[in-house]
Amino acid sequence: MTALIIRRIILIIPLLFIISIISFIIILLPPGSYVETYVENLERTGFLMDESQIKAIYKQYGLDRPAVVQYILWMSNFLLKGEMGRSFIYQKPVTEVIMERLPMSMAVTLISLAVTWLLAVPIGIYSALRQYSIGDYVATIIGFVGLALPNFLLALALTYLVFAKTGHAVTGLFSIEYKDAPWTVDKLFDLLGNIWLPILVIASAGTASLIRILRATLLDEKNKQYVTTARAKGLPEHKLILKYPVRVAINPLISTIGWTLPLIVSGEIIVSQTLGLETLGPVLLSAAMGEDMFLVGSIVMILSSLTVIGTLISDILLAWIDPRIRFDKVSI
Amino acid sequence: MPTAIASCRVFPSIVLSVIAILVSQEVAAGETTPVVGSADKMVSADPIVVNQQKYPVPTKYNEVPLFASQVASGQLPPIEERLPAEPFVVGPGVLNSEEWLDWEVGQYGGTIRTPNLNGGVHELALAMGMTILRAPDQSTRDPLPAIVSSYQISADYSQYTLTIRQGLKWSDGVPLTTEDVRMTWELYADERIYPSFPRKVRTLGRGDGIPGKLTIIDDLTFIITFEASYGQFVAELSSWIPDYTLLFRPAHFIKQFHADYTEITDIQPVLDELQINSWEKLVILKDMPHWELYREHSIGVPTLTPWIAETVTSSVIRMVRNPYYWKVDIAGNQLPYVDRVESEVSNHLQAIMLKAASGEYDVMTSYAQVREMPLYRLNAERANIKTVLHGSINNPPILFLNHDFDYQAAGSVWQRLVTDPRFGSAIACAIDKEDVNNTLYFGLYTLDGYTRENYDPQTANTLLDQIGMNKLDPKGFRTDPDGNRFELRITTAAISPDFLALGELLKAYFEQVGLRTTLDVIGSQLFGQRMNANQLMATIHWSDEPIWGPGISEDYWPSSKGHWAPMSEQYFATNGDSGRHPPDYLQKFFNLHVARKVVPPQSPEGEALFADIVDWFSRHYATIWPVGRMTVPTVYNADLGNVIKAGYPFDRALDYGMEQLFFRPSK
Repeated sequence: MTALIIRRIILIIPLLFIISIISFIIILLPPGSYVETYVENLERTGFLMDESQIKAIYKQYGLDRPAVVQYILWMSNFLLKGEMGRSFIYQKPVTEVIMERLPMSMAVTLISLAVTWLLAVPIGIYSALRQYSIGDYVATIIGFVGLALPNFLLALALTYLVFAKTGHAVTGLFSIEYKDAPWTVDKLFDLLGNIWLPILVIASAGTASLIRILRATLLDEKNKQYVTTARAKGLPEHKLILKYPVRVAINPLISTIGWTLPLIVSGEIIVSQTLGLETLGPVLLSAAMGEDMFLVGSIVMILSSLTVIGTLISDILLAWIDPRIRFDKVSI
Repeated sequence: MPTAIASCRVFPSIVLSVIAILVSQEVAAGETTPVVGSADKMVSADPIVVNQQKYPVPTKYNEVPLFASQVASGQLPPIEERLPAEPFVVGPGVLNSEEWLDWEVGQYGGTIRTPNLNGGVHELALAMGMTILRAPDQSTRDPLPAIVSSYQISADYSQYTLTIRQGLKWSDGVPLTTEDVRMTWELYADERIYPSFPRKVRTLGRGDGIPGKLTIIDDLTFIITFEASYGQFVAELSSWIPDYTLLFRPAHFIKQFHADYTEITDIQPVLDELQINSWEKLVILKDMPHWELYREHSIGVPTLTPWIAETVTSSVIRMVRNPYYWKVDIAGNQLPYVDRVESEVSNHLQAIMLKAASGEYDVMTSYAQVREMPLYRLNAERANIKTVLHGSINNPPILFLNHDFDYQAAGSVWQRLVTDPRFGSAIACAIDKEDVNNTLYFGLYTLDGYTRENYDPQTANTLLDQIGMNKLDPKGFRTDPDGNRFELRITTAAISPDFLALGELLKAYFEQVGLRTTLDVIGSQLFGQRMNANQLMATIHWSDEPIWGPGISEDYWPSSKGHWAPMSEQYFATNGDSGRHPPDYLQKFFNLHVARKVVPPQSPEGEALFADIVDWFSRHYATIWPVGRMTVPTVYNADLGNVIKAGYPFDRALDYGMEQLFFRPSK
């Protein structure tokens, strides 16, 4: 087990290196650069920049140097000083930009995840145990609708409904007066008044798919021999279900934790974009569009690293929860 | 002319100066169009001297309530000490002409909320544009001294003597002096900071012109001398594009990051904190143009703007009034009237529309389009918003025909066609202007673009037959004069939704007269790169025609928004080192352009020369205008005062001049 983990960790290093190169290449792929986007945006407002000003900006951002040099500088600063460079758009160190958005990203994702699990696990179990009952059909219908309906569309529809009914545009997690205010009870209430919509939207799709997965696995498991054996031994039904088949059926949830980790950082990008949430997702998107290369590069690096680490954690957790996997692995 | 004299009677204080301007212009106007470089022909009038304001300086000032407690506790000096000895006085007809604004004295207080798309706030970029001289609306005609208290322009427009308003202060309370101008010149000339001296402060605004010579007379007065006449400089001094930063950078502030003035060991901690690796880059960062003055890195930068950045995060911008702002109204109130400006970041345009319709913005001068009017009107009462329809500083998208495309190919068919005015005229005749207007713009735009032709497909067909495109290929399209397949390739980028729609319409019109047309829509950056590489035959883009006349914008330039002669332009810019030696008719355009810069753009000679440029465009079909001028809405809080009247010929009136807006008490 320990050997397995160590081996996996060693493998991560070249993997991240390759990821960093690939993400840098992807960032450089679109034509132009941040400065061109910046100048173009200014021109749309009516400003025509002087050539000397434009050249000064190229110099300031080091964009006058070849791509390889830019990459080496970025990477060496990252490895030696832990600096991820400066964001062109926000004109400050990338770390500061990320830290500004990270707490809300985590909050939104973790709360939605909790809501998803709290809803999906009981409903999934119920659906599987009472297969083809009215309740199962209702859950199935809701599940399919939730799966079929794109998140952002639901977000748009709900936003419009709220606007049409109240004349209030639900956008963002805070009202403007609390955006940069220190935490107070009022700010918390303001957050609660706004956060339910994104949570509802994000949790809906997750819940729907989890219900289906849990129901399917549990249906497979509940008729297996070890369940029958346990029942024959006289174990109370609820204890039996929760202790044996559900524990196995929960595996898909555990194995997807790996993907949750990057999600905690980025937040649901499309929903955040639609609803204007103050998470990292919209920052990543606008940085990608504005060719803010070090910001995009760093976020992509962080997300990739978290995916890799998350997968590792998933594997460890699975091995810990499911003895079958544990023994399989050890025997390799 | 009679109106100018009438206004002189009304405001006797500026009679002298206005007469001086009129005299100088009349004498010059009596002569023939000046020949390039022979500016001495015009040295016949007295210099232009303007040292008065439109209104008398108030005798008493009203303290700003927001600062009352700070003044009482001694943290801030009282208003009399914060203001210049003679502040710039705003009243009717100062920031906007009386024709378009019934100006009233406002009252202190409130917060203006503006839209913000991914951190960019067009409204603030313009609201921060403080010009050195100021003429109403988007004019540069006979400007009043603004940041300076007087200016004198030599009769040949080569020497500009400016005197800074005495006691005018940066937003940190440090007086503005000629040291700030000297520092600006030093930065411009320092290749470590600016790779080249900016064009606008070189003779005739040319990249190879000799930089203006700065002579400092005393703490407040300085002279900029160009080697030859450069009347366009009046427009640069009165334009929100370069604004005050053209001549004034806060020397005391910049010096603390500049290794020639501060020990590098003292700069190092700042470099470390900001993760910047050289002091030169730090200076470039801190020496910022006014359109960045609402960004986070502008906090603490001394400005001459009405509001200064207070807190900026990735989700909200907050600005607060500048205690040392140098404008007052006729009643003795310090401008701006409104205490704060706030801007919440939105991630996409639909969110901005929705917020505008729910009354979450007090001023929205950008983004709103005519097609959204029902949304704003329907919600007007509930959201307490109003809308006003007016013109724009932009013109609607036009078709550019690239006169340099394929110029190196021997016997190029395109070159033969594009230099034959009948081809351009045929294309112009094929366009159904009214159909464009009705289909795309609700019939609200004007039809008076630079293209004189009206919709006349028959003439288009005749003209195309005449130039030898009278044979058809198997698909029924006209061949080129040599009998080969012909294709008019129009390229655009999805920068605005009407670019694509217009492209589709043009394709349909041109195919109706037998011209095979393709429309390519590519990414905006690729579009720019291909234009730069002279790879595009024809393009669609908007430009700033309504402010070409005043000389604020000159994006009719061959390599500006849509490239119509980029290689000839390169030849012009490099004095023949590279690019295409322009054919005579293109050379004529460059001659007109240079001649125009000799005089102020809105002087009689300047206006005559601009009319020649317009005429040149009409006759050579570098640009083809499906429609003329735009109609766009501004959405604003219904309680806002000093809002422009409907029909104002430009837009951006609520941001360029935002300092005069105020909130009426809610009913």
